[in-house]
Amino acid sequence: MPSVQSKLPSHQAAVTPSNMTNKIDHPQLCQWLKLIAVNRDKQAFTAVFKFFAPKIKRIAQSKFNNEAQAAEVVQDTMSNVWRKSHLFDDSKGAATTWVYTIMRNVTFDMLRKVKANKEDNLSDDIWPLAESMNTEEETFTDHIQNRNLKGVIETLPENQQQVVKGFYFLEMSQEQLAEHLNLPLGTVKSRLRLALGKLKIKLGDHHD
Amino acid sequence: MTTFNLPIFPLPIFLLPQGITRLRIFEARYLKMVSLAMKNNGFVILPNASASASELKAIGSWVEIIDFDQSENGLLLIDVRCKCLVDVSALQQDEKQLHHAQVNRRAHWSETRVNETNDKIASSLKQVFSHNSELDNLYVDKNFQLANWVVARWLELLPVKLDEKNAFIEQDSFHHAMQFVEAIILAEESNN
Amino acid sequence: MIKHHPKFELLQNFVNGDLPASLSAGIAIHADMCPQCQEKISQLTEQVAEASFEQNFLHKFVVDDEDMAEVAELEFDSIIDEITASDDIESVKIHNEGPSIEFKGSEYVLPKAIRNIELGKTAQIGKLSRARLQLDEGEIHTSLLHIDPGGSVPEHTHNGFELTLLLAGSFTDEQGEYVAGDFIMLDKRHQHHPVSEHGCLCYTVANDSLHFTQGINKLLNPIGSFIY
Repeated sequence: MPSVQSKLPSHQAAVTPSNMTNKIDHPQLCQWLKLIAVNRDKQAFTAVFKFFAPKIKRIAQSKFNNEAQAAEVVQDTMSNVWRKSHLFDDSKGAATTWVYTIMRNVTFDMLRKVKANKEDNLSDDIWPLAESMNTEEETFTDHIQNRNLKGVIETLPENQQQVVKGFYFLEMSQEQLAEHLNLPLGTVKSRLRLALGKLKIKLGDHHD
Repeated sequence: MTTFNLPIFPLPIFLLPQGITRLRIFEARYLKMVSLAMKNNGFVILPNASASASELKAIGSWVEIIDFDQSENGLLLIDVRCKCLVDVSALQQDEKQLHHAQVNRRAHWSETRVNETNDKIASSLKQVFSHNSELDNLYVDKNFQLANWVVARWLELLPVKLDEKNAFIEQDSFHHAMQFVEAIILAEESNN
Repeated sequence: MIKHHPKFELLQNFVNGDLPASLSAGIAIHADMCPQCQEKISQLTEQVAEASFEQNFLHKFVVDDEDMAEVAELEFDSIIDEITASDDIESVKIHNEGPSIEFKGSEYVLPKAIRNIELGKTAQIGKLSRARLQLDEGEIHTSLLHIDPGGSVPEHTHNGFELTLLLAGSFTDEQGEYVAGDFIMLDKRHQHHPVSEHGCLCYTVANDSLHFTQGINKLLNPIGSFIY
């Protein structure tokens, strides 16, 4: 198996007895990320940075054995956190999971640059991060219901232009459709594709 | 032809005449829009607002507010019903960042009664409604016996890209729409 | 029904980002088609993330204390300034249907995970067509392999490993029938002879030429490097 040999943080942590002081304050992290998203709050970012950066650095050092590259992982990861904080959705997972995903993707692309000499940045295709935001395919009740908006709204300055403006309840997901039709998801997907294909032929493909 | 000036709510959804949806509103400028809409003639949901600023031709759904409520976490919920589709022109933004535009009514096939309906399509839609109480509660009148109504509701619900759905905005696209829904729900032709 | 899934260990390495791009993409494609593995991956990711960012993980490494911390603080402040100086936010990418590829008149939309990978020219032998993904991973070769209806891959074993991920259609080998989404990882202990009655499209990753074992096929060994 051609896997890159590295220390797996999960394994190391697993052998260390955990105690209360090690607990991560998840609500606090979420709150900071929201403040960054809504107010571009530098103080909140500094707090997030101080929490994550040292740990990211250690992990990156174990993968690259190189101080400069580890520093680059920290810089790239944290800069992504700053630019993408509005895409963080606490109903979909913990802040730590979100930051981990960004770090892993940054690291993966860098390793590929080093090893295969390719700058194709494939990680976001392999582990999609940004697609959760209202892309048309998944704008549905479940995440609307789960989303805790209150925290965000309370911090909204009155006239600020926001990333978010409203949520709606209408279209179903492919999964929901599959459930209603009592069919496997794959069948529903292929029916949708097929129906669209036929439609295009009928319409002479004049629209895009 | 009568032209109206109405507030614009940019939101990427597909809503045909008589279609109903629930919106959660929490941005200040849209709260203002809702209060305007309650007093006057409703507002227009415009699916591709950013593109239409530059283009001449844009089509939106003119909706009226039929109910409102407050969610558990204090958000304003409004239920809106589409009166008709409209051609949107002369999009402008006011000092509160709220868009307004000139709109003209536009005819659509879903407004024409078509009595003969495909039973299977109607009954599968019925099932969807009965499994989704939120959806079911939105509609006081359900016209499962009318093909135009059934096809329009299915189009709104289907998980298909907005761009693709837009083909069914054309006045003469009813038969394409019917066949499209049939192909997905019934899959008449066998496929792998 | 998808019956063949990546082993747990492979999912773990995937989540850690430790697999080559070819295998990572294979697992991502499978997970897109398999809610069960998708769920496992989310859970694993959450656990690994939590473990990575726990305080004690850091403390184990910190040899020195305050001096180092101070140096780090200074260094960090300037990075923070630099990052927050930018007002850019990442716009939401709405992906349209990805690029597609055509084999013998059938068009296939490429899975998301590989939509940005450059494809080589399609080569053909009989009922087999193959397009290489230009991943440049040394001895690991990644391809899209199309088998026309009635086509088959000559019986072979592998010197290394071979992943076959069925993207569309179906095929059969000694172990039974495979359907779209099936993730079939073989190593040199296995022999197999896939036959596709109705045709299929596979995503394949192999780290060495396969080795044909059957009669006349032995003469065909050079095409092993063609197929995978």
